[in-house]
Amino acid sequence: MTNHDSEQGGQAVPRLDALAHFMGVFESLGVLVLLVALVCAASIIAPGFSTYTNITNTIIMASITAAAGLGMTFAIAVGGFDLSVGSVQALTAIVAASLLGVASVPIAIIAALLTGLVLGLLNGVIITKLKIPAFVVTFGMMSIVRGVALLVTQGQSVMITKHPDFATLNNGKVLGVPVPFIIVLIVLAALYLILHHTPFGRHTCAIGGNRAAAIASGINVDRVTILVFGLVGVTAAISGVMLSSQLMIVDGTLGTGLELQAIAISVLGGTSLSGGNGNLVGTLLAAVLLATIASALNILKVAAFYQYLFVGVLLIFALSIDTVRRIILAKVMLRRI
Amino acid sequence: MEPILKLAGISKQFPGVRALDNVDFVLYPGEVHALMGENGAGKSTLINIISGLLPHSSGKIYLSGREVSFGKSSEAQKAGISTISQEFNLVPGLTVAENIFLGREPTGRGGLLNWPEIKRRAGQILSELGFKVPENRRVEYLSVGDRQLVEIAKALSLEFRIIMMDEPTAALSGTEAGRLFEIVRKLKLRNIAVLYVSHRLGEVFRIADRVTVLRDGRTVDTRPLAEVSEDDVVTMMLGRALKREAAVHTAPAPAEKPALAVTELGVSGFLSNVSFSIRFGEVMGCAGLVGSGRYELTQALFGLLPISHGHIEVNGKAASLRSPIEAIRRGIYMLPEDRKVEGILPDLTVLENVVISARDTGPATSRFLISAADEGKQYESVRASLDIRATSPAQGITKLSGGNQQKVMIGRALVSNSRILLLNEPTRGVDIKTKLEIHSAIRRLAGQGYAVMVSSSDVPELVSVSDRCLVLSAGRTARLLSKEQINEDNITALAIGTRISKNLND
Amino acid sequence: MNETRTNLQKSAGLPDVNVLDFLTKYFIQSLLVVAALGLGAVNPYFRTATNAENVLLQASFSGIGAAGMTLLIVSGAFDLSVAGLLGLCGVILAKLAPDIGVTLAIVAALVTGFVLGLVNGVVVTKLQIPPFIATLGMMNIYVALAFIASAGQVIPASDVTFQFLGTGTLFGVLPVPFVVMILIYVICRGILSRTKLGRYLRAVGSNEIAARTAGIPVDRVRIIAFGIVGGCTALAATFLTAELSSANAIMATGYELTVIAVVVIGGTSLKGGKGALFGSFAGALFFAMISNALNIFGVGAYWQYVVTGLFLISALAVQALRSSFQTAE
Repeated sequence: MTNHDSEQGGQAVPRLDALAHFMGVFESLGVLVLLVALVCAASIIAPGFSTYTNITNTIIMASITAAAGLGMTFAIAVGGFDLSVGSVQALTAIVAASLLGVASVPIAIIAALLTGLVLGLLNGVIITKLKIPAFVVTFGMMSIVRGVALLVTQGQSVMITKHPDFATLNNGKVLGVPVPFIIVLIVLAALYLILHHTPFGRHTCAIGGNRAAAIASGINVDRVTILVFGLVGVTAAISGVMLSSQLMIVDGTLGTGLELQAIAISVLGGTSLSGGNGNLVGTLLAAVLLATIASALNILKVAAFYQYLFVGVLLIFALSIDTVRRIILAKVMLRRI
Repeated sequence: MEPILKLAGISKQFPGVRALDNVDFVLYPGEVHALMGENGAGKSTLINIISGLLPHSSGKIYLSGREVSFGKSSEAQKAGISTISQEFNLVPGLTVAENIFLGREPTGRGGLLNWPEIKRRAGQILSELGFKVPENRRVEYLSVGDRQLVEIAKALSLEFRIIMMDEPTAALSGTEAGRLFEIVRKLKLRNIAVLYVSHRLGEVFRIADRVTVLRDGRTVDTRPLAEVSEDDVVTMMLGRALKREAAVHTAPAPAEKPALAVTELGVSGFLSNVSFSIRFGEVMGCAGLVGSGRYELTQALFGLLPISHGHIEVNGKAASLRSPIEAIRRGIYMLPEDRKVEGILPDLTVLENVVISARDTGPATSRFLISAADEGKQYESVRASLDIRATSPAQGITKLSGGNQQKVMIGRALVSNSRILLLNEPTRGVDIKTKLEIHSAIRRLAGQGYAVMVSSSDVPELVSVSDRCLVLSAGRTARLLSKEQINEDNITALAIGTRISKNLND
Repeated sequence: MNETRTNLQKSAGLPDVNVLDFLTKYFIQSLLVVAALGLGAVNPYFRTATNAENVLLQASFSGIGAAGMTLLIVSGAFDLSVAGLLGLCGVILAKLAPDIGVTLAIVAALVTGFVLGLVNGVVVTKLQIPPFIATLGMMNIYVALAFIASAGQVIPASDVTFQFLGTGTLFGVLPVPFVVMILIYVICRGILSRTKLGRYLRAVGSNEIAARTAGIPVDRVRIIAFGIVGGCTALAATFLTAELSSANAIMATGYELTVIAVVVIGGTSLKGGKGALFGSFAGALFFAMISNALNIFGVGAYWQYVVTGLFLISALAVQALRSSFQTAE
């Protein structure tokens, strides 16, 4: 890499930096613009889309996915992935639902969150101590946890009957805003603070950006990684609790494909797959985008498997944009002389 | 004066090899102490032990008289030892300030980052180094020289007492190297000890007070530089006196068509308006500082970089070289700069590494199936011609020494049947004996009719092997030197020439 | 390198084969033999010919897929879309068979699998998306296409040829799919060790940048490797459809996990550059055997998920520990 301007005593190219700022803003705004456009289109094409009920349902759908997606963004920032979030969502939903049959709501929720935390930490420990790549470990865990979820329920469903008010976690509204969305906003705020304003968050980005540099700086890479995966587990559990509140009846098959959605919204939201950064706000916006499209397709009575097809195509599309972004940045870096 | 660092009887045992054997070493505050030795002599191991990255097997380390033992690098850092390495330990996505304080970020209330403090302290250090970039610039937008300054700023902020630099000028321009030497002098004045590891005799004699030479894991001697000559140091490194052979060779018979003709070549961002031609049978040197576009020139000629302007002609015919495959088909082959990253295929055998670029000419079956007999012959001829030391063709390539690996890479070029060779840093990371062998191999190849371009940062090497020499500066041709004009001073002056006049015009 | 030779070996006049080295190199094969003997000793049904045939049959589904996957992993990539690809090829096979005959339908399915594999390869190389994410997305697409093609139904495949392929035997005791599996492994072994493609696969997996600089057509090599996986998957789909006498979109859920677990436990390194085809072969047998044992012992199907995941992680752990011992040299 050459940079002739800077050989005059440390002036980096100002054009480049302005462009970088522009692109950062564009990434967040890009999703926002796309979202607004889609919402408008949906309102026109799909009758009944812009009703209050439908919009709140869409936002609730988005919140459940977004919770898992925000955690996944953190995982991508540290340079890994967690393919087990779907299975963890299912298991934690089962834990919550089962405990609601014998204990109070707070205890059930805490138990579910702890389950997610423990599973996440376990992922982290296997990844760091056995030095196995994250995606393969979580790939294996995905299967193990799924198996456990099915075993524990023996393939049956678990109904939440003793605490019907549990559903307010899903249906309740504060000042017209659905509770799940508020939960997600709180999670977003907390994660944003952690990622951008704590040493832990900076270390996370360092590990994902240049692992060797992180090690050389004395960062305890193992500890940070384990904690990050623990965090991912917790967010997956939050997603599981919200899902159980929505459905009020859970089983071991929930959450299949959640990991794909979580990755898709992270990438679409502007988080680069190469690690080292995380666009949390973008992830939430992308979750809403995804839910909007799903909602519109539902209203238009498009069959479920077309939606499945759509998520796959969307992911490939989002990833291509990421690639294009990287290539453009590299090309701009070169435009001198 | 009390030494700030003392190593007594340090040994380091790896399974099967004793990297360091009973090394004694003393470092005083305020001295610049050079550490020299061939590759494999143990320099990097010693540095890694001092910086806490490796534990020593036996012996003692004393820091300011107190015995210490570092379990990991952060402990060494806390004790006041800092290291600047060849691979930059910076995170591209974080800012300059975040990189400087990585791992030791100042925090305020509730454990949150204390941004005003970070900004203040970073600004302080950067201005002391004469660094004009704002501290919130992301490192991925900085040049190589600037990134190194950030590394040094990071070390300064640690308030170290010992700083170790491992080949710090390897990727720097002349100006940046000069800037570095200034900073080293400032460090001396602050009574900080500098341990300076380098292959470059010129630099060492310019900046260091004493030199310690390692050979085969043992200390040969430690001498003040005022008392030794360059030849003395080389003798210590090799264990015998060096026989310098004058590069005698006959001028090539003028060929009708040039092998390679480059006209007004432009590569967006790196090169502009470069023109030259190489004849079969001649060695064209290519000189230039980092950033001059040297490597990018060979990459463009090998199809690894797109050309934005100009023509290339191979054997008199126009050529469009859009990939290495096309280049090889036209008879051009490139030796990459960094064999570890771009050259060696670690899981393959020595033989496979040599024959991998063989062209698929001949009957259809040989294009798909491997012919062990043919490959055996190809390998053997290369092995004999370059004297590659391997226990067998089936040996894993990673088991070979750096010098032999480099020979394998050159052998790969020969097997590709290309008559035009672009050799980048052909003797980087290679011991002195192999270096000379490679130089004579290059001259031999020219004698056999190959057209060779040698692009190198090692100016004496260029003087030794080139028939003509292209000097690049800031992406443009500074001059194309003829045989009589090739000498170290001319090359160095031309390589930095453009920028000097630019500075004068400010 | 360990140099331990037990005194027992020396006194028995046995050749200078280091036991520890042998066990490490042929780990899965040894495990397979031990498991087979152990299970056979413990459960009489396990020893019957019918059961053995069944194990060989079950092994061939994942085994055929694992052959191609081994080559792909050697080149440094993965394909997580094989479950969807299998379903899609099976559905296409079952739907076309009544119209154009079984043989032609099989050809069509194989071509589809190969072509879609190439598509995977193009997405990974030309769009420069990391393989496992790209194929994760493609998986969704293939499953969805399979649903659409089958309208969510189960498509019957009851032709007599299918019966032969699914339940017939050659040489008396060997199920047809198993014989084909052996053939596939021989072919893949030939590709890997005797062709330039095989060497290029190893080179690309070993150091992609160096491979490109050496003039290897990296993208083309990668795409072909994905195509091979697609073809193998389609072949597995043929046999599975034949065995089930039907095809549906989700008939192979979890296939990618099993296949990758088989390859990993077989000893092939995920980093690429080295391949252990014989290991994958043994791994497929091993998994089928364990699965079979779980069934015989009346353990629920849900345990399969747990067991497969555990084996995958354990095998990776063993690999990681082994390579950390080696790099300490």
